[in-house]
Amino acid sequence: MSLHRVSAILVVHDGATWLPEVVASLASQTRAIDHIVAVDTGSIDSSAKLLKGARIPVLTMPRDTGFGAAVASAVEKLPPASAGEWLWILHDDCAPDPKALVALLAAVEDRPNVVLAGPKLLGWHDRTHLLEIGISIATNGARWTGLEESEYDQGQHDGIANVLAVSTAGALIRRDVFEELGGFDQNLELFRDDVDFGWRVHAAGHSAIVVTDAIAYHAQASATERRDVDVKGALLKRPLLLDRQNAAYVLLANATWWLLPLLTVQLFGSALIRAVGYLFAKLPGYAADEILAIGSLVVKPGELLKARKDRKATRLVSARVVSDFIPSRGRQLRLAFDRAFAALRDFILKPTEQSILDESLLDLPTESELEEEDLLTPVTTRKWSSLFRKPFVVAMIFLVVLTLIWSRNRIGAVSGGTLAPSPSGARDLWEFYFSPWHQVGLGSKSASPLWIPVIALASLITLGNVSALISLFFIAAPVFLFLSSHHMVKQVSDNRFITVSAALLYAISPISISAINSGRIGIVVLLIIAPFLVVTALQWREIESFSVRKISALSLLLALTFSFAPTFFIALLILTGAALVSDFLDLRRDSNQPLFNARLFRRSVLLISPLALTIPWSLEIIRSPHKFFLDIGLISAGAGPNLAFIANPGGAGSLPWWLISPVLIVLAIALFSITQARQVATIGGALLCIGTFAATFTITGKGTSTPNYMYSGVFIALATVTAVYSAVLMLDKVRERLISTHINYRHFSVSALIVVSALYAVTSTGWIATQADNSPLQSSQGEVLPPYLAIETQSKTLVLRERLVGTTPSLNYYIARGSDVSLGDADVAPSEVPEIATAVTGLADGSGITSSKTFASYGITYIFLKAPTQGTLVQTIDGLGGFTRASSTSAGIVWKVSGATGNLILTDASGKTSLLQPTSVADEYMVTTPGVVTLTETYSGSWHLVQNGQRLTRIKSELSLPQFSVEAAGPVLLIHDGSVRRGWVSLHVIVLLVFILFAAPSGRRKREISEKELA
Amino acid sequence: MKFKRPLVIVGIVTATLVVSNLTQVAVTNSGFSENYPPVVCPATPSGESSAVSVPSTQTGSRVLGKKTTLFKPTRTLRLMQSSAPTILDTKNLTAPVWQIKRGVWAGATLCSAPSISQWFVGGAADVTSKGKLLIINSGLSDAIVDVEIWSESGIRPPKVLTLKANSSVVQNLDSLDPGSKRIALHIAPRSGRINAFLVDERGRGLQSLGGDMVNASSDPTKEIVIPAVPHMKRSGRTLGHTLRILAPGDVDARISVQLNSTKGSFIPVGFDDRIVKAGIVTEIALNPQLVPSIFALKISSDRPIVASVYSPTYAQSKSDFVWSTSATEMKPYSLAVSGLAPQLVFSGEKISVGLSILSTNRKEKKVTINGEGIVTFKVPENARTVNFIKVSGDTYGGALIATQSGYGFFPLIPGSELTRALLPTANIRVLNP
Repeated sequence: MSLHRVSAILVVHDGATWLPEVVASLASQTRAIDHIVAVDTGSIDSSAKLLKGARIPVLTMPRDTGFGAAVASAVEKLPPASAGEWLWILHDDCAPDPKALVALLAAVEDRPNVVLAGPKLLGWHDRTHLLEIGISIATNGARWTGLEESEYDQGQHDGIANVLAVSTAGALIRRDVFEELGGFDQNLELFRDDVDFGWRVHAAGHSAIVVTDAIAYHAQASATERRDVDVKGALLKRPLLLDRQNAAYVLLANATWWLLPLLTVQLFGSALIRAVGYLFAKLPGYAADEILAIGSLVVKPGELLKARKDRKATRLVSARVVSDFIPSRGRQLRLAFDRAFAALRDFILKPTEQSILDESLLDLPTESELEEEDLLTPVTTRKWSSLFRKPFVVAMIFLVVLTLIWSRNRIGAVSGGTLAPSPSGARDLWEFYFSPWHQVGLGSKSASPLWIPVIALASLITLGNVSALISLFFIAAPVFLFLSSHHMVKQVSDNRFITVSAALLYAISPISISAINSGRIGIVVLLIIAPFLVVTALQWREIESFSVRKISALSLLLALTFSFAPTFFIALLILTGAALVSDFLDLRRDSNQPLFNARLFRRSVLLISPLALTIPWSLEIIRSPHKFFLDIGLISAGAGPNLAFIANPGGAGSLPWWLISPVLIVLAIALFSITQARQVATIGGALLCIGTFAATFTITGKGTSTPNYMYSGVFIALATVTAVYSAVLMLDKVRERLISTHINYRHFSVSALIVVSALYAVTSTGWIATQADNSPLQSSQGEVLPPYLAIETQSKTLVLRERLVGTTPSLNYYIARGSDVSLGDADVAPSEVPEIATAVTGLADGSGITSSKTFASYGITYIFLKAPTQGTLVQTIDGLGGFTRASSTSAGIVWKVSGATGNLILTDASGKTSLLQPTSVADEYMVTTPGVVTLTETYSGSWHLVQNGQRLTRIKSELSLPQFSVEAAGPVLLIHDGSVRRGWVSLHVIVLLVFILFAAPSGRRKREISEKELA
Repeated sequence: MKFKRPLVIVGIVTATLVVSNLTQVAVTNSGFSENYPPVVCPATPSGESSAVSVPSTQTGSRVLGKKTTLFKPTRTLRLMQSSAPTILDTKNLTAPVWQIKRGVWAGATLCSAPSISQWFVGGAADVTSKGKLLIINSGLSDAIVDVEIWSESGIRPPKVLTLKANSSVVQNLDSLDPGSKRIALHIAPRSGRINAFLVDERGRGLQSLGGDMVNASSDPTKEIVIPAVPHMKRSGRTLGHTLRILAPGDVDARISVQLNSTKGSFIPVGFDDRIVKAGIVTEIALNPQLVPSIFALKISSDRPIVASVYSPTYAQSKSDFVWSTSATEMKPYSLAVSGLAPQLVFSGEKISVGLSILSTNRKEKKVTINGEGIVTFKVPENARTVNFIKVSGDTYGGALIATQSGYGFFPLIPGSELTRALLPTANIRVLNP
């Protein structure tokens, strides 16, 4: 028989919902409570009545009384303390198990240093849901239970364990220590008073334990917002605000002095991150709570100082005694990662209602039945070989092997085709994106496209190594294509052979092969996204049912696709136009104006949002509409309309014409289908015709003045995906239809389709295995600029190179700025300068007597003729004046341009030119005599030359270069003002965040979550 | 209607393909600039005189070494060459140079465009040698030239010459490989617009042994045609010839020489399957039993070779010698001949050459020459240009000129060939490895 005396204190606040069970549980304790008192803090429900009915003495207090104050009042009313007296603190929403008190007392019996013990807390509704087995606090203020989300209680944590603190719900506290420590801190009116008390208990040299034999069921009514938080200190009656505020208070009041700065930073940082998270979950109230909680502490430092002083008075050991109970950052990170992973898994796998509640489990056999079944059922195990009978697995293995063969020349950093070499790290891409001025050619202020930061962000996968990311992307691209198209077609058909075959054909379709082989990252991304778009596009007709969130998410996806494949916008424009015409016909037929308006609004948003989400890049495209037809990266020609018509874009790395894919025949047959395939094929056929027509046009840009046939990759990609979709729609269950009918045209068309597809699969696979390694995209392509020119980062070098375009020799040039072309450079490359073009022509045909002067005027220091060279070009340049041979190596021949040339050229009153020399200060140059300073960069209003704090007058020279009139000798500072770019980027980020905010899944306030879900 | 849909589909597809193919424009990735590079004529050494036959009085010319780069009209059809090399803008006409040391020797060569490789088989560097190698840099940048020298002793280390922009340099042959009797030279510019000319003048004491301008040959080949070798008689005795030959590779060459004359083609005794040591300049005496005439040599080899023929001459009571060098296969081109009246010699199995001769009085005369083996044609005295309109395949040509001062030869090849320069276009792809 225990010698302890137990005084129970039940704090009640609008707890009528749970109170009957709580009272009953107290009454049924196997070890009777010696004394009980209830404190009602102004309940407005029937709580007081219920307590009265249970004959529990009630102490009534104001409604805004805090928990600590309520308990303190109750203790005051108790009879004088006796030896071995314990206080059992109870909440009105916490029902202890009948054996709880016995178990708690038994545990403290032989542990004299334990002054605080708590039960295992389980959920009120789901009584297998483990809520707490002791609590602690993380350094970012989070309440730490050490448990997984919704952890199921299987006794895995059972036993008696030392803890930092236990919840006040069901906590057994030795009365003398409670009084000695001053009870609960009344500044913590609700929440975290338990942790604070536990911390103080430890600091006073005592211990706290959790006793899992003692069980209590806790509804957590205040924390889950089942009732209002009316305590005085609860600003705006917001539980989260109070919780966060108290968490920070506990940490700052109890931690050692030297930890305070770090804790403050951590608290503020984590509050900020959580606030952002809440904003994305569209819970601005919670976000405000996070910020206000920290802010309110800052404005009341006096309370903290007093609290620290009070704790110092009762502290016998260092506050660091609790360090073993504070979760390490590693544990916190691991838990955060586990939770994020679980959330991601749930998001991707989307557990269905069926999977959550498998009804078959409700009818589980008994143990004896199971044993009997075990005896009767022969033991069967599934063989591994059965895995290889699954078409999906077989196709994947085949594709992986094919991809490895295909990519045998792509191990390492890849470039070639339209893909420029990648920069060394993601940082370079970020700098490129934010930079207002690009050192490409004579300089460019063009806006960087959105795909640059997307790739930079994606390179986190490879720890910021962009080239590794790009290489992996191209190696894995066929597998990605297979998976994305399989995701699409499996929604149409259950026939695994058809879906897998269709997905496989998509992965090795002519457009896929062409895009991968020629390094067209944009088209490959489009090919991966397109199947997902098709799934959405099928609901396109009833777009009025799209929620704001869906529209926003779709807008982001469209913007992403647009940024990687600008031509996609043209397809989107055409499809939107067609849909609007259809809507208009519906309007004329049904006269449903609201429906028409809803569709019009949504379609308009989806059309405009890709432009809005990619500003200012999209504005530049709108200003030069031909850029809508240019793929990202370096320009590379297609092969004209006839190849495009058979869904092969042609060009470098593409399949030869005689490898005819089934795309065209599928679309043709599907146009006669009676299923939905016909509608899809109509769209696909139209896109293929548009692609065919587009392929006839030539286009320039992206740093090239040579016309190239347009690459109809986007139209062909979309036509291909529609063909795959149509084929699966048609072939699904076709076998049954064919069997049930006499031989007709369907039999022939299906046979033709299968034969062409099989033939294409075999021949294209053979081509890939034998020829594709010679495609433009390869690794280890070397470098254009030799090292001795690459170190001249401040010099411009005119690179001349003879290239073979097909079998035709071609002589090309471009201005290098100390490096080869890099990812994104072509997208911001400035247009050709006519004066330089004339000078280079003179260089080649020997007529350029003044070429060197022109080059010098534009700051071109070197001419580099890349080896191998043919013809008499070397002799011609040698023969022209103004060039001095600087070197001739196996890499090529370098001539130095005569005269003063460089970045800033000073022309004095006599017309003599000299190069401005930099001073030791960054971007500062010394002007030796008054004159005109010419900056050899493309003219831009953002260039400024500052002397003595004054901006010098800027004019545009005859060569369209910025010129500044310098009146006096002295240092000048060269500045490029990037404010405009920063403004655009800010606007871009804001628009992007708004769409992400709307597209993100909405969070719910805890009070909106049902009891069942909480359980 | 049952067939409406198929018809519509077929119609759309057909229209798409037809319109696409009709609207498709041809794309070219390269443009060309075609021109004839200006030609360079050798300087006239002191004590000599030379004249260049130019096609027109409006032919542009400028003297090397002057600052100006402008061409001025020659205002004459026979330009007296100054002591500095001259650059002529002759377009598609070839201008020959006739150089003489009055009463001592004469020689001919062609004003030619700069070359990246020139071979000279001729000259000597022994005590009799008074020959000179003239190297001209007509470019406006400095030039570096490698001069590779072969002799009867083998190859010597190349001599590297640096020439300033718009300048020339003269090297005495006896300084290149002192003591060598037989030399062959290869001029290989590393940079610059380089022309080289070789004068082989010989004397013993005060006695002149004659001289000639050795024409440049193209790179070594396995088949060489020397189209015109004058075969003369003096004092009732036919004068013998010397075939100088070099196989510049590392392996000995096995040669076979066929002689084409008006009496037919034959292989002289000892000239079939003959070994020529690699890297050694070899001379073989050639004394064909022929009446005085002109013959041609066709040399076949299993290794690339260069060769020429040294022939003593006696014309208009004047002894001289001439170096007949190899020529490449003839193509239609135009030759200025003002004041020269050369004898044109064509060699080949079946010769058919159509000529258009423009006289100084602007009258044009067309001549067709047909024959087998070897055919000659004497250009009229008043001819201004000879335009080779039509030339049969596998036909080679040379021109021989005889004057009181001596005898000269030049091959019938264009001095400046049409050059197609690729016009560059801007393309950032050049920076993509």
